[in-house]
Amino acid sequence: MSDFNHMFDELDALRPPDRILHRISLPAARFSTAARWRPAVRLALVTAGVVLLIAALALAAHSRTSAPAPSNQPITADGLLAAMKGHGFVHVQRDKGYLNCDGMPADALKPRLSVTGELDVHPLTLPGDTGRTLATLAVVRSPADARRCARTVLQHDLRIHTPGAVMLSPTILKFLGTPHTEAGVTVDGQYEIFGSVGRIVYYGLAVNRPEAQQVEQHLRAAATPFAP
Amino acid sequence: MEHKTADTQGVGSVYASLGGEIWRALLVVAGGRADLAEDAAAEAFSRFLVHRHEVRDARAWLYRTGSRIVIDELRRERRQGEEIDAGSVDRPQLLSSGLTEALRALTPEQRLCMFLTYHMDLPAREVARLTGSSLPAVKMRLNRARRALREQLREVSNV
Repeated sequence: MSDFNHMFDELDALRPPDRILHRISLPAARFSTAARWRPAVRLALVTAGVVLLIAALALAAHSRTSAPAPSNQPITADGLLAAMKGHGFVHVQRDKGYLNCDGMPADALKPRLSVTGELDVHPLTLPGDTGRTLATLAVVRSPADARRCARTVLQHDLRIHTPGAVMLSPTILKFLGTPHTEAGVTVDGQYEIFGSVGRIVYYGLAVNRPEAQQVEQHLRAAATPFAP
Repeated sequence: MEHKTADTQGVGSVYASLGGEIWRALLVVAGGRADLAEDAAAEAFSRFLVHRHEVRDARAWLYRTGSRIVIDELRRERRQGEEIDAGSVDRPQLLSSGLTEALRALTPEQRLCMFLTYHMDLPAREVARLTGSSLPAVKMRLNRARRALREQLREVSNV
């Protein structure tokens, strides 16, 4: 081996196994330091999840019993803004889409509240709608904020009565691929959650199961960035 | 050659162009351990899939990440007393016994420097960039590697 230039010549004939390509999306667990802690972490997460679920159920039951009766009165942009600010939503602001809600009947509004940590207001339209702006979207800072805001909306009876109005909002598409959660209030005051962490997209309640599945399929299709 | 990938489909093309090179390098760093080279290559590209948007130079990133995975694993095995000899693994040998013996005389870092210098024909400055080392460190590794190989050759010829 006096000539180092030919030391590795035999490597030229070697090709990597094809299975490496198929393993790329599945990190080898043997190198993960977290792998050793995985069972304990999983147990802790399940425990925390159960505790949070119980707390959320208790909170929901409490808010339902303590919420004032819906007013059924039309609400203005200023009214909604004031209500949201009253619940700590300092980031909510008026914009063109928001002002378009002025004077519209309350049951035509569909606020969508995101939890991406930044301010964003989007107009939303219903499928098959003539194109008029129906509602706004405000981005809040945390899931807790979204829940408080959702309760605010419920208290003001900002519900729409159009069954099947689950929409794939531009914000969801915009943030696909980055960790985010989006919560919204749906028909009949149901609470929905969409989210994605990397390639995994999840969602919570929707108007009904078939439509939720349809939305999930859209999200999954849009969120699959790499297929070896 | 720099691979700047912003889109997800770029990962596939990066693997197509760099997969073989990185795997061969890791095979050398692992001292001929095909199982370790395969695992480390898959792991490095998996991490690249996750961090691709932050990576400016895919080639250097993959070299550094892949070799670090192999080196850490070799150290872990040594600590736990489960060091596996490439020649003793019950699977087909990819490298000749001569090259495996030669690699055994080198540290993993020296193996990588030798591979990049003598197989990829890269100058020391480029080797330093790809491995994330300083230029003097690369030169020192190459000198020591050459000396170790010459000594090994002398011992073999004396026997």
